[in-house]
Amino acid sequence: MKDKPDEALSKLLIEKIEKSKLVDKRFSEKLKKGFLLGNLSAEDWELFVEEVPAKEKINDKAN
Amino acid sequence: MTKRIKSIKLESFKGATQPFTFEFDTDKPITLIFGENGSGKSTIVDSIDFIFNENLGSLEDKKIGHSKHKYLHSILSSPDKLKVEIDVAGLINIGRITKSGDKVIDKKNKVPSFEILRRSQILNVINAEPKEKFNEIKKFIDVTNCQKNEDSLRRAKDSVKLNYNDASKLFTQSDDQLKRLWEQEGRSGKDYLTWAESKAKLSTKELDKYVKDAEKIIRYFEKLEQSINDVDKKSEEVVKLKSSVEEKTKEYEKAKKDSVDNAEELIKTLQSAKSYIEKTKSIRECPVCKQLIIPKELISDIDKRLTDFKKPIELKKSLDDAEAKYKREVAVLESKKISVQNDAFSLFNFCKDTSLGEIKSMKIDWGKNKDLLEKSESYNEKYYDSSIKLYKELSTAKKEIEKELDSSRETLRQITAIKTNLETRNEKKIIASESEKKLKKLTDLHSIVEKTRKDFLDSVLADISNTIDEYYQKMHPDEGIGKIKCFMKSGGISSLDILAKFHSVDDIPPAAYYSESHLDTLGVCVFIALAKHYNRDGTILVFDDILTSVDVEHLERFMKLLSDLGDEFEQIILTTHYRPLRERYRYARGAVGNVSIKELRNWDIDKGMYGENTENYLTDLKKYLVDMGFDRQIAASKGGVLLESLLDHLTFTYQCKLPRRSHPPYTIADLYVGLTKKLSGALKIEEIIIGSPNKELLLKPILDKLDSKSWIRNVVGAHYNQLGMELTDKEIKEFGETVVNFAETMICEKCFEIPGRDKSGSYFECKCKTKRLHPLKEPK
Repeated sequence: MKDKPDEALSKLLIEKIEKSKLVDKRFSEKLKKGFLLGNLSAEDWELFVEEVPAKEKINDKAN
Repeated sequence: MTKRIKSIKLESFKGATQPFTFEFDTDKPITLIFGENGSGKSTIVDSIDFIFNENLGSLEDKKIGHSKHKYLHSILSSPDKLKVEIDVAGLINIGRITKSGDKVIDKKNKVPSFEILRRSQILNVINAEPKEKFNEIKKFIDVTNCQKNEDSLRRAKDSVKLNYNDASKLFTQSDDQLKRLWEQEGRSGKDYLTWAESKAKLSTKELDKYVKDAEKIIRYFEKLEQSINDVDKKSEEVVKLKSSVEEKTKEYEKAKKDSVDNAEELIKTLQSAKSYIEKTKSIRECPVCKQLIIPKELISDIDKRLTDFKKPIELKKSLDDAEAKYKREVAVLESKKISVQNDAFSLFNFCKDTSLGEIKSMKIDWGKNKDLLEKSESYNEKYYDSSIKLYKELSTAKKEIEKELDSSRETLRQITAIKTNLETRNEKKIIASESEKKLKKLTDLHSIVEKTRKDFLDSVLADISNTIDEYYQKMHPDEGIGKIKCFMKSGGISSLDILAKFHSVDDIPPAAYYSESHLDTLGVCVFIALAKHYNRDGTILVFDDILTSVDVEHLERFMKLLSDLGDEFEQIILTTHYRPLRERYRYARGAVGNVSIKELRNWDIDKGMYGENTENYLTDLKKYLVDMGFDRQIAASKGGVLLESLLDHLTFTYQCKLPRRSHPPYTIADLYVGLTKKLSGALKIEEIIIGSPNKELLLKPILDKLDSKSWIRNVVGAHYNQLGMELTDKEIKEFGETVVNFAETMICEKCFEIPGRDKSGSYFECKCKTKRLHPLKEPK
């Protein structure tokens, strides 16, 4: 069964964006959901590229 | 399990003026619905569109106003009686329409998707402007959600860019301002930034306090000055009023001396006399002294005397007014002097406690002036004069304070400017730096998203183009056309274009060079390729009367293409009014194995739609050969027609030479001439039987037998003559049965196709590859 074009492209884009590491993995779920529903806002994108606070980076590494 | 349409039941839907049920043969993936114009083909297709695509079908394209739904129910019926029921593999889907035109559709979830192609769409796909072309096929390449996300990403990028530009601009402005201030200060310190930072660290607390106190004392001074000015002005007024009263007193005293006693009573008497004389026009003597009078002169004399007697009275009134005003103004002056006392009291109390050096250095002895530090509610001349005296003494410090205040304000302004600019500079530097990082990430993301979307659509379209071309080549092999390229027009995300090859020239717009029928088949291929590309859970393809007139060769290729597609799609429904297509299916001419043929008879407003199965010619003939249904003429006639069709196929396949004549068609005898001895001797049918050796059968014995009996078709099946009458039923039946034998030998029992596919390169074979026809070419 083939995906609809929108779904197929969404999956491809999610994969490429994740590979680029331009969006922190904290936002992976929101990115996937938003892409499939087509409801990502400009504010969401700005949030995705926010600098990860150093404290959170340390916590992530520890985890 | 297949999910094919089993039946369609219509009530009061378009042409179905009476309840109508159309049954499908679900064993076969392809259903051909033949019907002449106006028999109800589009009604069937529209009913599918109505339920599964929830639209008005062929009415959608018609220019009949906005309330198109009111034409969906049968004429002379009403919307509430409309009902469409479509059974897809046992799933019953029902559609109705309310009186107000709302569709009420109960569509089951698990039904396949339906793609319907109408003739009007073919023209739009091929001939329309790129934007309309895109609209026709957009659902196949629709990436709206991705597009929305890409748009919001672009907006985010633009917004961050704006923030970055604003922050950079404000950073530069504040930085320049600091440099300017530093230069104005004489470029002291290591550099402008070190200088600014040290300046910004300075405390302005004392300076602030000085400015506040100085501003306050100036305000006290100014208020007192204003009150003193008011008193001065008012004093001048009072002096003037006093002299006016004195003058008026003198005038009055003088006038009083010149006046008579009881002047007021006399004035009343004179006024009465004057009035009496004026009213009594005939008077000639005085009513008091009886002397002769001239009234006019007497009135004039009375007026003069009245003026003289009124003067002291008027002067007295004027004097009284002036005295009253004088008293009022004296009271006002006193209240203004109280204001002066109060304002002075406020100033003195502030000065007593102030830290302002200019006042402190005066060393005022406040103990000596302690009365002035207490508020006086009434005017006191001594208090007032002392206040003025002390004010004048303090006033000497005011100018110094004003001068120092200007200087302090300037210093404060400069420090504030340095602080503000330094803060802005540092804050905007951080914002610009963060925005720059974000902007870079967003720009990179946007590039990825945009490029991926373009590449994706390009690859989808390239894939679709290949499929279109594959189908198109099946329809038009070696015709110098094809090499189809579908692509999104640059600069437009909703614009599609199609280019193709025309003989030796690539990339031409097919609409400009291709014939109408070539464009028709191209449109069909585009549609099929798109439907195939996104064939999800099986798709049912519906072609609504897309074929007009097509020559035999292209018709056969189309049938072959359709037959191949039968394996790729859940079901294919093809409506046509083109009788040759129906006939070719009936005579097994072409790919017919997976096709069931239905027929719609002529529509009638009272009886509505009527449909029936159409049998193939072989089955039809066999019906008239059995004892119960035997009919001499029909058996001979139908046997002859089927024989003709089979011989036509053989002579066409081997491109046999036939007698040249001005008016074809060819007779059975002509066709036999075409089959040379070499060819008929070599003709052989090979049947593949799994698990057993292949069965081979030479066609020559059957052909010879039929050649010797073919005259029966004419004498019995077509004419009135003695010879025909003398033939026995057995002889006619034998002719018919030999034709049936010939047909069954030629036609594959499984796929009902005469071997005609030459892919093997050695023989012809049928679709299911069970039967082969040898040889591939006529032996030399």
